[in-house]
Amino acid sequence: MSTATNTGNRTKAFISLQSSVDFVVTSTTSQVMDRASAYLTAGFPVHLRGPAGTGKTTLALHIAAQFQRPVMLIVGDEQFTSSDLVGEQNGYRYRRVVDRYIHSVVKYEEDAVQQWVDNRLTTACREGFTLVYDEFTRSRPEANNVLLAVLEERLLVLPTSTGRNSYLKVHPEFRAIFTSNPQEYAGVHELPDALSDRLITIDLDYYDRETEVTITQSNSGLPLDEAARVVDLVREFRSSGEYDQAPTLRACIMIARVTALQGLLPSSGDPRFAQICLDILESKMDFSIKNRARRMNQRKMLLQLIEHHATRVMPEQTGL
Amino acid sequence: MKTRKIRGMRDVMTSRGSGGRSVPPTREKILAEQARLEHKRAMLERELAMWSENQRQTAERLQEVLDRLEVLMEATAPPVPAPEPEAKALRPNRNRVARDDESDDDSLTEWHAIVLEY
Repeated sequence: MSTATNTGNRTKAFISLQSSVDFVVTSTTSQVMDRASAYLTAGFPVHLRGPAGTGKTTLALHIAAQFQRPVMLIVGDEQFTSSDLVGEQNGYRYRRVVDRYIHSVVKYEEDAVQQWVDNRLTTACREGFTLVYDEFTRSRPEANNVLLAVLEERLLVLPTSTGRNSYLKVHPEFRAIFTSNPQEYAGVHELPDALSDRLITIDLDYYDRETEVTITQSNSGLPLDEAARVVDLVREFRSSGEYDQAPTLRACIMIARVTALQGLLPSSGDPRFAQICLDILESKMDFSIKNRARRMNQRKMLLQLIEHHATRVMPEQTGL
Repeated sequence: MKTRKIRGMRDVMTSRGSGGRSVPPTREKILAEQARLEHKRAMLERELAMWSENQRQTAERLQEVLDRLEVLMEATAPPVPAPEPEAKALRPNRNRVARDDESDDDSLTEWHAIVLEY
């Protein structure tokens, strides 16, 4: 966010969304987008929930872009408090009055008042922006309590007793999109019932093969059949269950993009491709000295998967 | 013969009063009084000239003080307030509710768009 200048003018920033050339809409994502847009148009906040790597944030940004309103993006954080959402009293404003109404009498009057500074939720409610609150369950539940009245009564209760209006009527065009990981993920707090009850939650799972291939091909530049090799490799690794962190679509894109940038093709005979796959996929298992045998078995399985899905014959061996 | 009506003791001419109004009987007394009066006239004229000069000098000093005061007042005067900014031609929200403790120069807020590609 831009900083305010000292000229008296205040500078505020908002996000203007623009789809990249890599972004693709498949039938699966289009259906989710249509459902979410319908709920938001009806005035209900939408919550996209799903495991990491299922495109929740990208989908949330794409849904927000459909409304053609400025966007406020907030990323949940353990250290968040209510003031990080709504704002706080920050700094002082000094006022000095010199009264010379009677020429022989000079009257000075000085006072200082605290100045309120809006934060992103307040700005979005006031101006009617679209709020995208990414990973909002990573913030502590009490920090998100201010959302209860915003989403139900359409009223933002400001934590200040000064001033005539400590309440802000939420703009009719204000919309909110939330994303979160399942609760079993590290650093994720339980979603309070009161807040959960106000949201329409759409559960997202890993995309089907066709969607993953299309997205991987679009984000990497590999030919479609070569991208399909990478996706099949990762999907079979995911279905094996031999990992501690599930390999996601991000892993497909990483492998495919690096392969394409290196001028390679997915081939089991190319040690460089095999090394790329191992670097990206082996980290899905916890590293432990005591667990060396399991790690070796996992590497063996990965090499077999690479052999199976990238059967292009190359003269040299992987050497791994 | 014109007679004067006497209303009280103050209308009774004393010997000094009648003497002061009458022309001295001798030439020496006339010249003596004439010399005394000339001397007195010269003294009063000098006194009047001094007072006039003092009045002129005082007026000059007063003007200097007034000029100096004007300079000091301009230096300590509060800045001229900027003209009230015109209302926004297009307000993004008509339901906007301003708070009392909100800054009164909200029209000076500059919005800065950050383009985000997703």
